[in-house]
Parts: sequence; C-alpha cells; structure tokens
Amino acid sequence: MKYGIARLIDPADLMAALYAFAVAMALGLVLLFVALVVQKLIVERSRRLEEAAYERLVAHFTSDIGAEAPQLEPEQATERRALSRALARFNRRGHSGAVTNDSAQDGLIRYLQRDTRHSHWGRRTAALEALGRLQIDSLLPFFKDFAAQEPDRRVFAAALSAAARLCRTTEDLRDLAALLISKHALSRSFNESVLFLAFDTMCQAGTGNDAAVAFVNGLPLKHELLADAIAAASRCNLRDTLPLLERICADPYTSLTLRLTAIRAVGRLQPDHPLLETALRDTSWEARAVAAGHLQSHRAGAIEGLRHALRDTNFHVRRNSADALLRMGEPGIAVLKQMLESDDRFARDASRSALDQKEHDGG
Amino acid sequence: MADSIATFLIVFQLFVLGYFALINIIYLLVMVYAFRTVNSGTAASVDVEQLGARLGDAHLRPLSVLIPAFNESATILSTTESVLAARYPGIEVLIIDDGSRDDTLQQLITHFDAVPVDVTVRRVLEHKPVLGTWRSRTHPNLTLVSKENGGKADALNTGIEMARYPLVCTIDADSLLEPDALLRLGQQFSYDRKLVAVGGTVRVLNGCRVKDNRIVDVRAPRSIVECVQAAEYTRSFLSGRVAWHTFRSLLIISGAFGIFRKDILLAVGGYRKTVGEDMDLVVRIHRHCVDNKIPYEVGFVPEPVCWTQVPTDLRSLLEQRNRWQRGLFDSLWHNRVMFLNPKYGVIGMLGFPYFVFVELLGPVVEFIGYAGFVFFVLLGWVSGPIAALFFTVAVLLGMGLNAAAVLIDNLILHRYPRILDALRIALFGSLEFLGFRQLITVERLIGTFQITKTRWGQIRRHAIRSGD
Repeated sequence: MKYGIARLIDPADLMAALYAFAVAMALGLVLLFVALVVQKLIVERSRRLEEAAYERLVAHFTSDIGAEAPQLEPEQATERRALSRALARFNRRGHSGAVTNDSAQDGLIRYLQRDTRHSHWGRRTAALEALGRLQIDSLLPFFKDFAAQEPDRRVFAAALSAAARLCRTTEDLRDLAALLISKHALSRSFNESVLFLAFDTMCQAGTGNDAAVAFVNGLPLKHELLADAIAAASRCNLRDTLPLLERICADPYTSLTLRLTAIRAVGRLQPDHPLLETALRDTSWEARAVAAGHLQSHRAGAIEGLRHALRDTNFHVRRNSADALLRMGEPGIAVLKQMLESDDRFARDASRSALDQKEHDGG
Repeated sequence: MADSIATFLIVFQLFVLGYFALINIIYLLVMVYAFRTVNSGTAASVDVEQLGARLGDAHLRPLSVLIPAFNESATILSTTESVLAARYPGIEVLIIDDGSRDDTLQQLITHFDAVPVDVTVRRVLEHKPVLGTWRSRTHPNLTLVSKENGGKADALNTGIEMARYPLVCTIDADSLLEPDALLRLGQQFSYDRKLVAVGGTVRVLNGCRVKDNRIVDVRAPRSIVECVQAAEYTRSFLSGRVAWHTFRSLLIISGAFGIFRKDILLAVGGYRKTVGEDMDLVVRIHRHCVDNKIPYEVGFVPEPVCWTQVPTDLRSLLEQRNRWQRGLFDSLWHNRVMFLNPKYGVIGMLGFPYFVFVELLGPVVEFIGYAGFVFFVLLGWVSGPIAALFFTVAVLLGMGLNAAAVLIDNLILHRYPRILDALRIALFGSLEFLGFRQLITVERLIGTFQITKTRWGQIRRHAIRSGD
C-alpha cells in the first residue's frame, strides 16, 4: 500500500525528480567552488594592478626632486582607485591634486564624473571623493548640482564634503548652507563638520577669513544652521564672531541649544571672557556646567563664581567647577583646599575628588 | 485506520516539504538581496587611509566603550589593548568586572597601572552595587569598575550609568577590534540623525595571526567545528543582517559589537536580565520608539569588523546554541505584543513573525521532520531511497547556501587573502549540514523547553597570543 505523497505522485517519478534535483545541486555546488577559485584569481590580479599604480603615485608624491607626474590610465578603474587612495594620503600633507598633465587630468575628470552616475552608491561616493581631492575650483558648480539632485544621503554627504573644500566666498557658503538644510536626515555634527571644512579651507587659503565671518554673522538668530555654524567658526578660531555670540547669550528668547553652543564657542575662543562668569549663574544647569567646563580666568570674579558653583545643586556643575579650579593652578587649588572644610557635603566631595585626581595624576 | 494514516502522512509530508521549501526560498532571496546591497556600497568601503581623510575633519560624537568581563583573564588584556588602539576622536573605555572569581581585575590593575578613584554613580538603572573604581595612569581614558556578580546585562547597565559620552559601544571581552571599526560605525550617526543603534560584523578570530593585539593575517580556523562557525557567521552577518536591515526589520545587534545612543538606552531602561540580552534590547528599542512615536533607525554596516573567539569544542558550541535559543524565546515572549501587530509596521508583520516561525520554531519543525522521516522509514511507510534522496537534496542545498555566502564574502570583501583558506571555510563550513546542524537542532530544541533556566554555561576561552 502507498502512503503519504506516494499516493499523490508516482514513487518512480518522485525518485527521478529528487535525483535530478540532487544532481543539479551537486553540480551547482561544484560550480560554486570553481567560481570561488576563479574570482579569487581575478580579485588578486586587480589588487596587484592597483597596488602597482599606487606605488607609482606614492613615489611621485614623496619625490624630493620634483619627479615628473606619472602616466595614469584613467580608463582603468584600478588606476582611478589608486589615485583616490594616494590623494587621500597626500592631500592631508598639503599636496594638491595636480598629479597629471592637463590633458590626462581632463580624461581623469571625465571618467570620474561618469562614475558619479553609477548605480552603486559606493562607486558614486568614491568617485566624488576622488574628484574632491583633485581640488579643482571649476568643479564647484558640478558638486552643487550633483548634491541638489542626489537622493542617497551618503552620496549627498560626499558631494557636500567635496563642495566644502572648494568654497571661497560668502555666496559659496550660503549655497552650501542651503544644500545642508535641504536634507534633514543628516545630523548636526555632520553639518558642523562640513562647515568647519569650508571655513578651514578658506582660512588656510588666506582669503576667506572675512567671508566666513560675514557668513556666520549674516545668519538670522532663528536659522537652523546657526548653532552648527558658530560651533564650526569657534573650532576655526574665528574670533570676530564673538560679538554675535555675546548677542546670542544676551537674548532671552534664544533656545537653550543655541545658548549652550554659544557659551561653548566663547569658551573655545576666549576662555577668560566675562560672559562665562555670567553664565555660571544661568538658570539652566547645562549652561552653568558648560561655562564651568571652559572658564580659565584668574580674575577674582571667576574664582568666586567657581567657588559658589562648587555648592551647585547639579553634580556636573560641581565637578566641572572643581576641575576648572584645578586647572587654574595655585589660586584654584587653595580654594579647593578651603572647601574641604565647607559645611556643604557636596562641595566637600567635589573638592576632595578633584584634589585626589591631582594626586593620582602626580601633579 | 489505513486511510487515517495515509491522510496524516500526506499532511505531515506536505507540511515538512512546504516548510523546507519556504525557508530555503527565504534564505536564497535574502542572500541575493544582501549581495546586491553589499555590492552596491563596496567601493565606499575604503581603506584606513581614505577613511581617515574622509573623517579627519568630522566632528564625531564621543563614545564610551563598555567591556563587561566575568572570568576573562585569558583575553581581557588583548581586548582592552585593541580597543585603546582603535582610531576614534573622543573615546573612553570602561571595563566592568562582574565579580570575577579569577584574576581578571588584578591583571587589569597591574597592567594598566590603575589607581582607585572616587566616581559617583547615579542609580538610574537596576544593577548590583559597585565595589570600587580605578583609573589607569598610563591611559587616563580607561576606567575599571568592580561590582558584585549580577550577569552580563547587570554589568552593562552599570557601564551605561557610568558612561560619560552620548554614544555607547558594547564589546565582548574575548574580541579584537579592527583599528578603524569604531570610526566606520560611529560615522553612521553623522549621516543619519534618526539613527539610535548600529551594529557591525563579527567574524571568527580563531586561526588568525595576531601581533600586538591586531590581526595581521586573516587565516581560516584549524578545526571543523571552528570552520563551521566561520561559515555560519559569514552567512548570518553578510546576508541575514544586511537584508533584514534593508527591510527595516533588524531585530538583533550582536552583543559583541554595536553602538547605541545612550539616551535611548536609558529610555528603555537599559538591558533586561536575560540570557539573550542583546536581541532583547534591540527589540525593546523598536517597541519603545514605535510606542512613543519617535522617528528612528536601527542600522547595520557590514564592513567594520570585530573579531571574536568562537567555541573550539562541540560541547561549548552546543551550550552556546542552547543559550541563544533560550534568549531568543525569552525576548520574543517578552515582546509578544509586537507579533503580527500592524502598529509595529514591517517589524510586527514581517521581522518578528520571521523570528518566531523560522528562528524559534525552526528547530522544532526540523526535528519533527528528521524524526518523522526516520520513524516512517522504519515502519516502511516511506520508501528508504526517497527519504535518503530528500535528505541529500536538503544537505546539498544547505552546502550550496554556505558556499555561496563564502563566495560572496570573497567577491566583495575578500577578507581571506589565501585561496586555500577561503576554500577551507567553504568546504569544511559546508560540512555543517552533515551532522553539526542536526546536533545543534536537537540542542536548540532542548533549549526551547528550558526557558526558565538562566545559566550561561561554560565556554572555554583561550588567550589571544601574538603569532596565533
């Protein structure tokens, strides 16, 4: 008697089907192993070619006698990848992207621009990064147009980073800002880093300091990039933004986020600024903690403010104040020692913790 | 009677065949989809030099790395050194000794010249009391914490409370980080402001050559047990997680390597004390964000790699799989409200049911399939040759999936530079389906019915030596 599926399908047919399937699977498995060997050989060959091209470029960049630019074959993907790697390594040491003669460079740009239209987001990103590292001013409109149309945020980020390196004027920065706020998915830290990249490039070129300051000062107080812009400006040490920062801190209607960023920026630009002493009495504990974390001043008002902050209700304010007094040296340490006798347990703990830390650090 | 048996057999065999066909089709689709996804981004997975150039000016959010340790004296120094050597601007490392009975803590104190410090711990999350804290004099960003034994989740909760930075990374104490792994993972938070958690790939450390706590030569493991796991990890991370992430249904970030936003960890109440705390956390993050209408993303990036030791003996492997199954069951049961619940969108309707029907119930159905066929062959109700052929097809299909995963891994990421190593993993890894898988199925089945057990089991650790 037949049981199970054998009642539905003839056992002989079932056997034949299973046998055929098993043979097909076994053949497929063998093919997979053959494919593994073949692709391994192809990958290794491609890697060897890329390494050779990379070594040629490295030799060019490290040559002290101004060796002739190497002959690149931009139509080869391995050569383009090697160039991108070499530029990543040597751009950071001040080398420009000029590695080939003009006609070869035109070919290179053409191929890289073609790669920016590739369906794989990784290829588009890599091509944009390579193009950006060539540092060719005339490519700025290309990057802007590209970013405006790119749906993938990773590729969009690469296009913006490339554009940031080519910003020269306040107008360029405004365009960059418009692109940044067009994609809300990107984080504030990314916005800040792109603006920093742009400001830093402009400042290093020696022509863009005023343009960067004009851009930051020109942003309305409600602009969503203002906090990122002032943070980036403070990292570039743009001290001419201080009046704006003072205005932000004085305005009772600014958001806490913006006020915190402004206090932090003041702390970076001028750690003995009186504004930080005022911020020690802010209604927000976060503002007090940030101010205490940045304040470095020997003025009597600052020392008194930090002494008072050691009794703050918030742990972070007390801790940052104790650290600030410790950084101050002798006058601050004297205050910490006095506070060991305080009637406030929290002030005693914060002072003891800071002094212990100093002892452990061998100071 | 005969008719009843016949009907039962038809239903049974159709069910087993249907299930078999369905999960293999899912595996195939997931693999094809994952291949397309990973391949699409592979050119952006640049070397360290390019990554450094790309991120050199980036303002990455600072990161606290938490390493929970319980009796990890064999590996803890290597793991800590590898994390301290990782490239990332703004990093602190917290090692939480969970009441080890060996000299884990003493080794750390001596090796890193640590001195006692007074650290205030705010009790926001549930955990056992902290017994002491030390700070390294050689690495000021390294803090050692000693606490009463309370389990891995308890140790991680302590670490979350003590972490100073807005991002928290968890790493197992028997792992080695690649120098750029934190950069690659941390940068994801810059590109996506909705990102709350992101996981990286975990690969098998066994067999690799290590120098100064860094992998200098990626090699295949020596034993079959380890090769099976190497292939399994490749398949799981490179296809399963990539695809589920793309479907916005990633329910697990390995406890061995993941980064989370600290505010979200505090919001969900930290880790829950269960043996599958890593999966449970991610499921609760999904649940919390949907319940509170928080826009969020849980990410996965295939390229940043953490190398971890896997069990070298079968007994430890079975213990581990038993624990994973218990953890899976507990997590799914604890969050059962999400099951087929449209409120949770694609996770509730696709990701969660997949984990229930394929991952949780898979061993049960598989076992019934194996046992049923053997039983019916013995009774003469199913022809022996047909059963044998069916088993052969199943094994070959499994071997094909494994080999394809290794092939894809080599095609896109080519982590194993030697052809013999790749072949070894593909070949030995494929042997999983000739015995290993059946044993693991039985162990997972046992684990399914041991849900109340909370023991972790013993896994033998080996020191990570230079030249290994």
